Amino acid sequence: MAVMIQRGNRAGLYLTDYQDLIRELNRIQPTLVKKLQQDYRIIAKPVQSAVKGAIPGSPPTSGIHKKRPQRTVSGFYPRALPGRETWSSNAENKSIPVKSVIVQTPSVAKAARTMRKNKLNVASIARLAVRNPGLVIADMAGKTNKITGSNPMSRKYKYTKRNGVIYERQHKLNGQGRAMIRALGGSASRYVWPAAERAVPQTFAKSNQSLQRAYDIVNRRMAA
Amino acid sequence: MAGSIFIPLISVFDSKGIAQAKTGLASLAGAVKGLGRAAAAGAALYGVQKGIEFIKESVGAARDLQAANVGLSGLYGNLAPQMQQFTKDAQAIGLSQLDASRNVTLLGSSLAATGLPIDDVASKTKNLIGLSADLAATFGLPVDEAVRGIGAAFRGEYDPIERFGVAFKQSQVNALLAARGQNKLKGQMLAAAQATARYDLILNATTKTQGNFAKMSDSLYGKQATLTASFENLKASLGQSLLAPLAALMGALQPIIDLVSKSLTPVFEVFGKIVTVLTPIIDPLVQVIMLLFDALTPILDVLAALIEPLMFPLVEIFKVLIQVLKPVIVVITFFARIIGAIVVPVVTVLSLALGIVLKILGKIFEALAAIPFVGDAFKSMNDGLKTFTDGIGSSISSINGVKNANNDLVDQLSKKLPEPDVSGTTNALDTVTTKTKKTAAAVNSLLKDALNVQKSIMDSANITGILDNTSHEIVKSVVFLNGRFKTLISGVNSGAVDLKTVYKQKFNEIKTFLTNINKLTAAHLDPALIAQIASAGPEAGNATAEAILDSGKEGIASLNKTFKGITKVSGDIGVKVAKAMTKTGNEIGNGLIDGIKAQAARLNAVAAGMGKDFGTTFRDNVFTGLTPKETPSTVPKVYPRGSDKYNFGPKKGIKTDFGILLNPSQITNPYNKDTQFGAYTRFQNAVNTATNYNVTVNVAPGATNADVGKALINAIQLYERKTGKVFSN
Repeated sequence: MAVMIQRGNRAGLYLTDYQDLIRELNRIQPTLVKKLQQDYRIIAKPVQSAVKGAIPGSPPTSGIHKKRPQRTVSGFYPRALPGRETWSSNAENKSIPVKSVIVQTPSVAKAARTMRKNKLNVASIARLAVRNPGLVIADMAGKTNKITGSNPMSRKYKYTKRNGVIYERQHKLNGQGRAMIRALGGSASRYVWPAAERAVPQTFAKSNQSLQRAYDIVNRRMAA
Repeated sequence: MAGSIFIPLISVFDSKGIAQAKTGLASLAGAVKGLGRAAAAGAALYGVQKGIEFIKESVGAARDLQAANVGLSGLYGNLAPQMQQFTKDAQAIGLSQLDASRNVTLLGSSLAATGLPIDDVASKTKNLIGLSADLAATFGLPVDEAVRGIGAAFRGEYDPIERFGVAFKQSQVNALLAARGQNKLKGQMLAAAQATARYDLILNATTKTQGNFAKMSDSLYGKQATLTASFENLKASLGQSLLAPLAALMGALQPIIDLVSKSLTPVFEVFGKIVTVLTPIIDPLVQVIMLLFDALTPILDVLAALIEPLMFPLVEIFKVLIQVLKPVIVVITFFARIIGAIVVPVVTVLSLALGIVLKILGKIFEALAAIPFVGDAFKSMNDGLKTFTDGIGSSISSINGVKNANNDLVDQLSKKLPEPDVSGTTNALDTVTTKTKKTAAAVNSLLKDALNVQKSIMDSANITGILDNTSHEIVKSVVFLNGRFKTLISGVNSGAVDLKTVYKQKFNEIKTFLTNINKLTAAHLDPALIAQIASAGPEAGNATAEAILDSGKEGIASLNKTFKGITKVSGDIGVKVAKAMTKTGNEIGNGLIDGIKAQAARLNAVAAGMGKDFGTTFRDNVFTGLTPKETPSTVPKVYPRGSDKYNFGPKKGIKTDFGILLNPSQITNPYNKDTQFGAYTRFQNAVNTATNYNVTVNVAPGATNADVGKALINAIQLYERKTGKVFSN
């Protein structure tokens, strides 16, 4: 029997229950699993829209969409050089638009793998993914507050000397990051999570309904 | 480096630990239920349920009396023996020793608190207890209530005693003090003086009611009160002889508790791991706790059914514990959410709760070993297994016998074969002919023996064939069984479909029943009688309710009157089942049973006396107005509820059957006479008693006092309907 759990912004059920459900649905008719996953997409729609609406269309700071200074290079026209963190899609950020919020429905096997891998004992079977690097930085910058204290240092990284010796080192941070966080204002998360947390509770009833429908199908088949 | 932001919408949680715990509990529950089934068969044979109830009441009464006596001794000190004797003698005023002890302690405490000397307190208490009995007899209220009212008056609360016609105020107390010149006293002296004044005022106000109980001692009320008290005393007396064996039993159980605890510990260890794993998500954790309790409850139900006579206090404690723990855990969870400290309180409460549960389970499991019929069940199972293995063994030896016989035959045959003769080839033809003849004879002999071998082999083949046939039959049986199972399952399915209709019908029945009950309530039928009808359920109770409603206001009034008398009857059946209990003991149970046996003679004597007194009193007071016995056409034959279970009559025989009188001599089923100890006697007794009242009551085995009561009421009702007269005593 499935036990639906709702706490905070999580709705869920036990892994074994879900594994049993998917196995039985596949036995009855594989399209039922697809239908369930389609349901997830419908369930996710309001949250998706809310998050998309919360993402600003224009860059929150001027630096994040930097261009090369306009100058002639070897007779070519001046041009912008978009990077990974640019507030638009380009080859560097794998052409992911800033307002790209997609619904992912990992398989049971993947969920179990995730659970084993991260040892959190929790894994998603329906989730939204926000992947634009520029947006993620702008949204979450300053969340950990690890390296923005009074004596900001970089994390340790490996460095190869000219003589080939590899060693770990840190360097002082010049304050650019802190300045960016200050310029972004507020605290993380700035756009995505506030919007999501407002919208996610609306999905609980539908999640329950959808899963219950699936369980009903299985139960009816077993009783027959 | 920035990754992606994931917003989980539906998640799955690790359920490994929960699955382990569920498996552990399921196997535990399965094992216990299996044992329960085996033991239930034994329990059914012994028919101990009624005995259990009596023993339970006896031990409870003895335990309470012991506690009450401790309180009494503490209060009265040197006068305690005198007061204990008084509580024993209180039977004469309709108070059991237990009730008297409680009341004496209660009243004595109220008086002693005023500072009166203890010998004064003792004498006043005795008088007031007697007065309470008089007041109760006069106003038809319980003696306890009268005692409480008097006690309250000594504390300055005069309202409770007003119900007994004693009305006075503090101003009267003050006036009396002034008249006695004690109004200037202070402190303890004033309190003592007030107590004496109140005592005097109460005695003055009750001069007309004093001695009323003695006046009514020959009435039904007086007899019933006295008989009830004496029976209560008897119960407590029996229970006292059981207290010591029970205590010894508890002590003997202790070493094995640890052993049982060890076997249960792994289950709870797994549970502990779950607590750690699932701490971040408290809701499922709580659900698991509830699941655990839900799983333990049926286990305890089974165990309780098995060992209740020995361990009922523990089972009761467990039940209460579960009821208490559930809300406690819910509340702690709520606060844990608020303060964020989830792990510590839940784990603490859980370990505490499970620790207690574990101990109780340990005691209960151990007690199982002491139950005779559980051991018997195992023994019969072993016997069955032995029979089965013996059968297999004999089959194998017979097959081996056939095989050995064949071997012998082959040996004999080989010995008969002729030796090859090569020298004969050079001799004359006649010699050849002779030899050929000899060989032919030998071949003939060989053929003959070969035929025997073939026959023997054929015989073997027959055996094999029989075995094959047997296998075939077994396969057929399995196929047949499968078919039956399928039929059963399809039956269950179709039953499930019909369930809705049945529920609807039941709902309508219940609705009608409730309407009738409401009507009866509106018609002022005795609440106890209504409760009895309600407890009979819609199927049986509805007919009664309708019949009573048909009888109209007068019928209901007379029913109320009679029922008051009948409901106070108790004890006779209890005594009979106590006798039944004497049959069930051995080994550890012998301690308990010996206690009963030691009192059996007294029990019988008192029961006989009580039955006689009651019969006479009841007849004199209640049934004097009934139609004479010689008009049998108006005598209804009544079947109590539930008699249809034993096929002793139609369910609604009260309406349809006036022709058949079931006598004790008609009981020919040896089961009723021999193994269902007490049923036959109870039946005979009920019929004889009812015959004295000019009504005929057929009491099936399993009928209770309530059944007899209901039957008598129905009898009166029918009498009225038949004769057109209102019954009155």
